[in-house]
Amino acid sequence: MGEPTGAKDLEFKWGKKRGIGGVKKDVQFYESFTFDGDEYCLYDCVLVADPSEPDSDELFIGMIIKIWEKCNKRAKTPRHVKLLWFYKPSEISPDILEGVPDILANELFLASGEGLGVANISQLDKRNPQPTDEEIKSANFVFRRAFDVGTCKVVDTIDDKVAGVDVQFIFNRADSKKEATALQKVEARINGNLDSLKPNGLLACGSVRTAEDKPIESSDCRENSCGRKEGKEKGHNQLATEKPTLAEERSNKDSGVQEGTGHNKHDSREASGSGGNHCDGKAQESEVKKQFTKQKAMPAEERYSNSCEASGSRVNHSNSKKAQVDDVKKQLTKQKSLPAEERLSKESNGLDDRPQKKQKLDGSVTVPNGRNTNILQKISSDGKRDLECFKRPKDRVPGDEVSHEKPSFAKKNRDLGVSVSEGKDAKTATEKGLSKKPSFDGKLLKRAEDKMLADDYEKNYQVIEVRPKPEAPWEESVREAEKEEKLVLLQNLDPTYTSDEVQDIVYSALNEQCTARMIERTSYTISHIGQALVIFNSREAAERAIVRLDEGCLLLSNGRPLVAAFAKINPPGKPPLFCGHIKPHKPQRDTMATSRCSQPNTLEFEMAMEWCLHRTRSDHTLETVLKTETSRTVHYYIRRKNTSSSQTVTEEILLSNPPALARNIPAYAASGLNRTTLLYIV
Amino acid sequence: MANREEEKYDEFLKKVRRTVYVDELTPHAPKSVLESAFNQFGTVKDVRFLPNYLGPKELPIGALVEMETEEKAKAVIETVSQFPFMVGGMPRPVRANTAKPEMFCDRPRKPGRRIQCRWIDPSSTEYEKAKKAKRLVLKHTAEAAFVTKKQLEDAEKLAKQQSETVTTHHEKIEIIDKLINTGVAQKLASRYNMKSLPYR
Repeated sequence: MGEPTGAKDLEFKWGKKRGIGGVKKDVQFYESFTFDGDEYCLYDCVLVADPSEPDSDELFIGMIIKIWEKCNKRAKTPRHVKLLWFYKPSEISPDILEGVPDILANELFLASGEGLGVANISQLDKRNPQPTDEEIKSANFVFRRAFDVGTCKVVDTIDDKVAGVDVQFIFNRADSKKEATALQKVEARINGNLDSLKPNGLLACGSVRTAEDKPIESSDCRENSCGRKEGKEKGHNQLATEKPTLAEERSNKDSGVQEGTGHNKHDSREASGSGGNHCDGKAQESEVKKQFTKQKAMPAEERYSNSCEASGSRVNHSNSKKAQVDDVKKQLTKQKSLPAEERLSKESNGLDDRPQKKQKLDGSVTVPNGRNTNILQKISSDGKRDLECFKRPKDRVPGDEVSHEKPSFAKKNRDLGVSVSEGKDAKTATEKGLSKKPSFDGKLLKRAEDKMLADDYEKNYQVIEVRPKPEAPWEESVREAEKEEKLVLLQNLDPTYTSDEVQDIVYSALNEQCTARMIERTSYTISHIGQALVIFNSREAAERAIVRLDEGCLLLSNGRPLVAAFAKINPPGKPPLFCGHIKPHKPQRDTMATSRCSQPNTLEFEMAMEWCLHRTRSDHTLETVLKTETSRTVHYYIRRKNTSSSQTVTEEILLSNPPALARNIPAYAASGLNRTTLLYIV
Repeated sequence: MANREEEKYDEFLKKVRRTVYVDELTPHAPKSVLESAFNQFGTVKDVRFLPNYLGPKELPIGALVEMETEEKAKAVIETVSQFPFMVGGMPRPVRANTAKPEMFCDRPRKPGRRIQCRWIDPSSTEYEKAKKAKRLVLKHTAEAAFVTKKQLEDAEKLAKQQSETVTTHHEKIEIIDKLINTGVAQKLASRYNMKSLPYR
């Protein structure tokens, strides 16, 4: 894929006409044009080189929002495109980016607002906007925020109109849903045959199944990003380096297997699950997870199984939307984040219409292929944790997974990562379940997978590479949960528990799904009482849990009864003034003072010493209070120990620290704390 | 399988060891300020703030600063506890301590741990005790909250007092400046036959 050079003899052809405009009606607008064999449509993303700096490697990313030609013969450069710019973080001044949370290296900011730098008109001179190659590595760009060129700020929300273009065109389009169905059916049949060619019997089943499981997960995470379309994040322009064919393949396979063998209920459930996800966009992950658990999926199945094929194709659709982006990124002559509907159907049609593209795609297949399998293998090896869960009694696996996923998705979270790895875990679990079958062989399986993937690439399917999901915005979900009154504060946990373990506990003991997060220990928390914020699925569930924990006593393994209450968290907003920092009297520049150690001969040092004293004093107070508490707790534990056999390390530690109450009383009094007040509270 | 988990946990513990828990931070100091502050001691790998969901809003912020090596982290703690170290303002210094695994909300599971729990039968003698323990927990939290509140009040008092001190000092210095600048000081010196202050 060399850089197109020799500008003069490059092919150029106009596409579909769009309308006539301009003052003198002398401007013809187009929907597309073909240039050097590549078709460029409206709302395609292109990489543009700066013609004034031909040697510069830097490429700018822009979206074509207008294409027109001036009919006026005298015009030097009759052909024009208008580009709406995406900014890379590197193109924005670091000062502006400061304070913008979690900027990804490959994130893009949409230019918005009013001013210079939103959109440029580029002359479609034959030499001008030449897309160039870029290494495959960089093929991943994320777009979820906009950069306001007027105010020079990064904004999270995107206006409805940017540079006169409806944002709908910028985001993946939601309206094109049912295009690819017919074709996929055809392919499904092919794939079905393919499957039957594989080693027969149970083994074939197994391999087919796992091969399906994998793509499903990838498609799920794709889908998540798709589902986010409805969400405000709009993070779906996330372009993984891979091609969605894997997913396509998957649903094909689903229908293929269904048609062919008819016994693969599991598959139909998968397909239906993801279909469902797509439909309601909220319960996505939970649905998919349910399929894996094989236990709770029945309703979902009933609801969706008849729409299996349709939903499958819908999945595909969303994927191939992405795919185009990715795929084009791969080719790197052109980037399309916004496929038109017609295009989509064309692409899934086997690309006959556009042989050039296809060739390029072929060219790039080899690299991602190897990498992809690697990644898949890596991920499957990551499944160990849940395998363990699987070994645990009862239905732990569903508990783990669903509790992870569901609430976060109700909040339209972005934690794709979890979903992927979890999905993989679930897959491993499924494998385990299947391993009862006699001829089930891991190696064979793997080989089958690899082969499957290789096939996928050969067939030019767009295979999705599974990538970790970005971090979940817990902050958001917790605020929302508080509003909906489903946020619960659990107290008296062992401080060493992890968030996952708390989720497990809630699932096992209360039978509720939740998302939990341990409160980090700070110098202001009580070191021996672990706290966790738990988001339940509904207000009712939260209430149920609180009542049960209040009326009954859930004793954790180290003799701690669990305490629950509705949580009230600090409202967000500007932090209050920080006491202890004095503003300089002569107002200097508005910058923060440089951090330093103060010298011992200054007033500052003296005052700092006062603070140290204050701090030591308050530390001591807290410690003293906690110690008296601990002594009481220990007392309780000792009495309890006689009746219960469960004794843990924590207790031992507590017991080996004899209460220091007596020793600390003077300090306690000296600390300035009004003892009677404290006793009153006690 | 277990080994892998242990490895992961070990990796995490290593990270904990090279992390410094920085406390008494102003909420107005952004990440970049913190980073540059601790870059003086060695390369800062990561800074993350600990959210304060439950405590009073006025509490100082805590942050985890991950240094490149364990030694660097130790050096930071040593220096910061020896000399008052100001970040983003003066004169309230920050405090540094070793980080604890419990300070990381995304910590991995401790390998090989099994958690058990059971519901206590309401008719058993244990039940009452457990109830009592629950009340105790609430009481403890209330007590701790009270102490924290008290601390904040104290801090406010101290801050007020200090700012008054600074203002007084400032005023004094300004008066002296004025006297010197207008030549009053020199006049007085010659009048009382004293060595004159050097005129600026």
